[in-house]
Amino acid sequence: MIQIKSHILSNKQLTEGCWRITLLASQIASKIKPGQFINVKISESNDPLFRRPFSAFRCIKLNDELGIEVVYEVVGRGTRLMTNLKQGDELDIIGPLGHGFEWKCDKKVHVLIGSGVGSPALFMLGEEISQAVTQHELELVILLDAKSKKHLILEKEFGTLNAKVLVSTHDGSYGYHGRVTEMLKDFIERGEISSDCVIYACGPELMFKALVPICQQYHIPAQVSMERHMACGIGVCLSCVCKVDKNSVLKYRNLKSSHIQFSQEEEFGYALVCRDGPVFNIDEVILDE
Amino acid sequence: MNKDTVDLSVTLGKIKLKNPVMPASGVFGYGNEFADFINLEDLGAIIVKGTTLRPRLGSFQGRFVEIAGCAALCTIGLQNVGVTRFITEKLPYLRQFGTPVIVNIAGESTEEFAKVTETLNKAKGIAGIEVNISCPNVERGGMYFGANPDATFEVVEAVRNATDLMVMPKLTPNVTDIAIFAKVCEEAGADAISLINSPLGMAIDINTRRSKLGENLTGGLIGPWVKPLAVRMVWQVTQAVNIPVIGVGGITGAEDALEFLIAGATAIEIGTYNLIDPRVMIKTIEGIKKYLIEKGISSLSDIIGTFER
Repeated sequence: MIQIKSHILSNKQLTEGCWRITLLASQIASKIKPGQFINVKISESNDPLFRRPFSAFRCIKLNDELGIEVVYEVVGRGTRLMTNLKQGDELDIIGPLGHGFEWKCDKKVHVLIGSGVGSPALFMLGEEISQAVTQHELELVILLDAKSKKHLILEKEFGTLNAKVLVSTHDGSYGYHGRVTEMLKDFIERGEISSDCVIYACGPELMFKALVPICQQYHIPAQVSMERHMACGIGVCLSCVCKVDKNSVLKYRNLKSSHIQFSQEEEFGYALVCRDGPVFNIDEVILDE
Repeated sequence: MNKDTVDLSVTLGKIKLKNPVMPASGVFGYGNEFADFINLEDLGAIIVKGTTLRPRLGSFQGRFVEIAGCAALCTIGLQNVGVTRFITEKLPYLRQFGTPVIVNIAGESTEEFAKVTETLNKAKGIAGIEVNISCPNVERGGMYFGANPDATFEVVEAVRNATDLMVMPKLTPNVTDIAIFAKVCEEAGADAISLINSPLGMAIDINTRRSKLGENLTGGLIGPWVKPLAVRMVWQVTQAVNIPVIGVGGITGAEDALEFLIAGATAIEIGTYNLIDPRVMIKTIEGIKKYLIEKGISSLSDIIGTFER
């Protein structure tokens, strides 16, 4: 974890509610892994008070230095203020933070599912897998989901990867008409996406809930990036807990290096989204609350 | 004046601190996360997460929400690993620094407070006990001890009888006259008093008509806005007792810390702002030093309690 002052290189609007900010941050960009995040102090004033966590969209080379790009949605006061930031402004950022996505070449088909402003968090993972596609004979499928065509982001960027990109819109204005999980199920049933795949998803928790029965039916392993209000982002305040299933956690994690605390009486615990996550295996998290 | 000639040291009971700046319990974990940002040797003392006899799972999820106007509502409900795991897994790391370790303790009964204290008293490397009789976010114990003078006396006396370490009860602002509670603590044998813990607050989502903290309903109101409330209470308490008072509440840097010191606090704890700027304590120490040099004051003790009406 490093705290740095980072210069803003650009801050541009992508769609009605989404912006892309580029930060000069070599020390963090050289270390950050897919699915990890940075914690940004948006204003020097104390209102808004707390940092705001953002997944890295991608890292870019700038001569001898490295930049981090973040795609953010305007959802409240903090992100609204962020749209006023200009080239040359300085931001206090901490990163890289959290436990990101993990992938291996042993599965051949890798499916990335990004809904709304969740899709940027998958791009670095997409880049990594894309680079291995030819050598390891992998198949990379990227499903992007948006309310409508005008809300869709990053289709062009994901299109540069060695991948099949499919789009769903809820109003049918572009691509598949429906939810991304419905598209996934249809495509698996039609044999267009192999059920012998692994899924990586970022989006609203409702999407993860819809993903659970599909993963169970076809025995598909899935990793999901969770979201919580965070106060510190570094694992000390215990604010961003998410409920996890004890038996599933024990399958995947070395408890010594985790921050998970289990109930003494029941089979659940609280994991820290900022340290144990934000990426969890879908069967680890208890989503029904 | 030479920079090194400024004496920032203060004394809390048996403990001498090289400077008056400490993290408030709960914002600093067990220190290791902050080692990426600061040198733990530089702090006056380290106060660790509230520790109970048995591990606690704490509040439900949905524990934190920022409130416009420099504040947030937060309810952790004393999630912690319990005193046994604290001693075996967390304390060894903290022992390597020359910085006094103060353990914040909590319990649901006087007996629990006494037992945790006895257990900690046997462990090596602990300088003091901060007695949390003020947590606003637990059903039993917490501020329900600290809002009742008899219960306050009973708990502090029980802790006092269980240890010779520095004993420092932490008071809740959720009372009518905090000075009464400070006096009770002094009578029960406390070496110092820290205040304030967070006032209890609530926020409602007008669309769902539910609490913004979900099932938790209420939480401690934290952040810079707390400072004037805390400064007033610290000032009142320092008038009422003869033991050192530690000021806590809304400190974001040296200027805030100096307000507490001038009001009468011997030392200060920084809470919420550690979550925002992990270097805030170091900046605060530097800022206090700079202030003293600029004012031509050679010792921090010459500024404490110098408030003039």
